[in-house]
Amino acid sequence: MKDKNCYLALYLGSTFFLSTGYSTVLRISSKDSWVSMILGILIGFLILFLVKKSKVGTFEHSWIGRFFQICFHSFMFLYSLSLILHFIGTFFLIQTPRAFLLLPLALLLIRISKLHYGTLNSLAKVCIPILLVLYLLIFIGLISHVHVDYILPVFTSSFADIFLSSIVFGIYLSIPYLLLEKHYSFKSYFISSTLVFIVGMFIILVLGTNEYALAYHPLYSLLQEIKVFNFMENLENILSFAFLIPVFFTLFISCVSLKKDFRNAHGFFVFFAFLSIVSIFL
Amino acid sequence: MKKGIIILFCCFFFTGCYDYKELNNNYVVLGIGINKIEEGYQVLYEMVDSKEKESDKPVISSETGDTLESAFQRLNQSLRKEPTLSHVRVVFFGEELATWKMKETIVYLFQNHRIHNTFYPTLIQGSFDEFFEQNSTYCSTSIQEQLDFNEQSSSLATKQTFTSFFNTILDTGIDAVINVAQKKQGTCSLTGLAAFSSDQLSFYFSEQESNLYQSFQSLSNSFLESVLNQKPVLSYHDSTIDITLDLKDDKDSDDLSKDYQHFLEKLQKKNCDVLGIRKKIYDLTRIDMGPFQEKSVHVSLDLERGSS
Repeated sequence: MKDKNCYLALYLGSTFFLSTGYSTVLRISSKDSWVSMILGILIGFLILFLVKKSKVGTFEHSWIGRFFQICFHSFMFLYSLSLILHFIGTFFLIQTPRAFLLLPLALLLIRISKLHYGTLNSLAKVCIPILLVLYLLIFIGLISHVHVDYILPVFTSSFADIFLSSIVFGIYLSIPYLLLEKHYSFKSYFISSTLVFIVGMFIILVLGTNEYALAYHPLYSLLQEIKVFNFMENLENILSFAFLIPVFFTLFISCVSLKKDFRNAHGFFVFFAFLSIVSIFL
Repeated sequence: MKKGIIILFCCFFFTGCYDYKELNNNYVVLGIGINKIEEGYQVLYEMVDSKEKESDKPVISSETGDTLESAFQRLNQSLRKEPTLSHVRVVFFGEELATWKMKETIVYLFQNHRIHNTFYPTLIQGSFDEFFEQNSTYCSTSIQEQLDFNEQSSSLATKQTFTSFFNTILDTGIDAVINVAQKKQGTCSLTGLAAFSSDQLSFYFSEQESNLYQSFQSLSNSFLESVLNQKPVLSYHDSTIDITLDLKDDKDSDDLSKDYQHFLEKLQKKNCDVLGIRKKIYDLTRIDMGPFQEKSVHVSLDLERGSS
């Protein structure tokens, strides 16, 4: 798979922004978050550029390298699985126990773990039109709810706060890309981060930046504002898939990577079962 | 074995059907009323029952609780059908609640993902219970239609959704206004506006004050434009705010200047900054004036007569 053909990279940027990503950045730099988001995209690019140029890959074969790799893949696996369970359990299947939600997901993941990156990449390619349509609907649906005065006046936060939140934003954007090692192009990173930035701008311009607006899934609250022709409602349940699909891809990639890290299948399944059970309680 | 696996898969993938909702087995809530009572909160639903023959008459049910959450829970449990809250058009706040404090209630509503934040917040002037008594029509639909389609009432009503109201209440640089509804000759109608000071109801606008507020709003929308053109509408020097209004009508400008003066003085007296003067001063000068209670601000009005 060539780097420029890596469609998975288009999804990874928004992994951390379904839940805590936007809230953390907006809490630090409030109205000036749009500045820190732009800076954050550049910081994220710098991180990925340095990682690509460095010789991190040579440590992969040492036991320390392998240990860190397993830790990172486990973290991404746990994060994305618990996030999916939490999101579905909070908004879609409210009364269903988490363990029950995990069962179909676990079956799916066992099947996915037998696939290769190339197959996942083809799946990612198929999902691109769906994602674009969802983003387009989000942008069209929200444009009438924009209040420009929510970002005025500019530069009310201190430079330290803006810089700190831009570092946080850059880290959130770039970390998931480490799952692909070095097989991604910066073009995909910039497309993905631009979409994250635009949605972030909508959160500020529609919901404002007060702490209560950001406390509880700001992305879902944002999508709840969308109402088409005054009768098509509950669209947020469909539109939130624009952010749920990337988390699913992160989960799939981390699952396949974990399978690769373990040399025997039994070891992987025991570890997989352990992580899945832990994710219920997170 | 294969059949077993297929059955197992069916069990998992048909789980989406187990909590499906049939419209006839649900109440569609169009309006919610919330008020403060001695023991806690009173919550009321104005609902449509699609199965009823007389579905043009609203079904009204109310319940009380120590907290807002318990009041909502008790009301949901007391109904014989499950209420659907995603179609709420208007939320009515009682006078007692607005006079007490609103913050808890609006934060609860904002964070409740079952209720969409696209409804209109409205204040009931007078008795909360009487407003919903013996209703032959839907108050929530009537208020929504007045706001959406009736241009005549535009000077007496502000078309703000809940998210906008929520942000204004929590913003320290501006105080909120809310639409006021009353029952007149058996029908629910919008009668004007009311002003908040922080998250508490301050006073009701008269018809003239509502008009002045609306005209100032349209004027302040061009505020930034004026600043960019070096002709400030509002400026701040030595603790004095100067508001310059460019009035086009020569005949009435004297009367109008007095009206504006009275209106601004009343707002200052009531510690109520619905015009967002603190916010605008901060935008312009970056001087944080803090809450009105701590600093006295002299308001002077300078009217410039425009050539007609």
